[in-house]
Amino acid sequence: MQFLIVSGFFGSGKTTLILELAKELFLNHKKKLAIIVNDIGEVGIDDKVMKSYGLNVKEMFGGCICCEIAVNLPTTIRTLKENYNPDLVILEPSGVADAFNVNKVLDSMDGIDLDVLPVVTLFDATQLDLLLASYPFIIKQLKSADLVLINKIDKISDSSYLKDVEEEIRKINGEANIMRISALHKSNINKVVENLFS
Amino acid sequence: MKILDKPSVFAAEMNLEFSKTRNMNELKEFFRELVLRLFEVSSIDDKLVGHIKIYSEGKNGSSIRANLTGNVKNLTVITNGNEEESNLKVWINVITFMVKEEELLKYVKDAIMKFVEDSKGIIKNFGLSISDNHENELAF
Repeated sequence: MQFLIVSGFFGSGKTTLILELAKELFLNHKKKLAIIVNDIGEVGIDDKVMKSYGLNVKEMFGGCICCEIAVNLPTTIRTLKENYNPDLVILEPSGVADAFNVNKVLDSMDGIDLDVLPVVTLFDATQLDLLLASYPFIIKQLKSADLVLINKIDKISDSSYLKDVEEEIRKINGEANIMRISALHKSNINKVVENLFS
Repeated sequence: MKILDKPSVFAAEMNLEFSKTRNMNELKEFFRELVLRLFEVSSIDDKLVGHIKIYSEGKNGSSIRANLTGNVKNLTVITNGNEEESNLKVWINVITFMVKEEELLKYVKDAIMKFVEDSKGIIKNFGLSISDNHENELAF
């Protein structure tokens, strides 16, 4: 069972990206998908949006604190495996979670053979000021990424601004692949899939 | 710009009724304006570190998703379906690092109530933070 973490700060576009990835993976790659959503807000919205598109979603409330994830996440994954046996599980952690802690939990899990895919972190291209201010949640998320997706490029007309964003991200994580996308406008989604599954 | 260390969270669900049926464009405009009102009370200097999310399902099957983060230019409203609606279930989630939680809860709730009243709507079954109802729910 493959496992994909799509992290990113609030409003970075995680849900929109997952919806587009799910469409691409189901229609063109025939993958059986399940999605785990960890909302911090206690009134799940992302899960409802995804369900409205016919996706299989397991909500995981209880905040985004990593010790809570440590208890709930393994149980959630086992439940999905037993009840649905998907090819791929996509985890959308809350906007303040970082994938490093999620990976620690996955590493300590016994009994299920998980193929953990490169960690995807979304960055909202319009939020360069938060990056420049070294906002801790965003820095942590970027550091734990294997693939950084600079999202909402449709809102940026200045290409030198996007280069600045990319440079700032490289200063934080020089090893991650970086791609520019617009999840809302479905731009480069197929390239993201190619990058993750090739 | 002062940013809090931890996010303040407002999360609620409610039933919304309009005396007159509204078409999708009218509903889209309603939720667009509601998000802007919530932005006013959860942001500082026209900047929101966090997000505003609204999701609505109408009894006739249409749904609307409205999001905003950062600034008002980032407001998006996405519709699914084209049915006219007068009865809607609405979920609202505001997360901000700009306003303390006790203030946020009051400001956002007041803003919702006032806007709905101004828009000639009625709120029924307003509920804050209902996580227990959802826990362990499997939806396949």
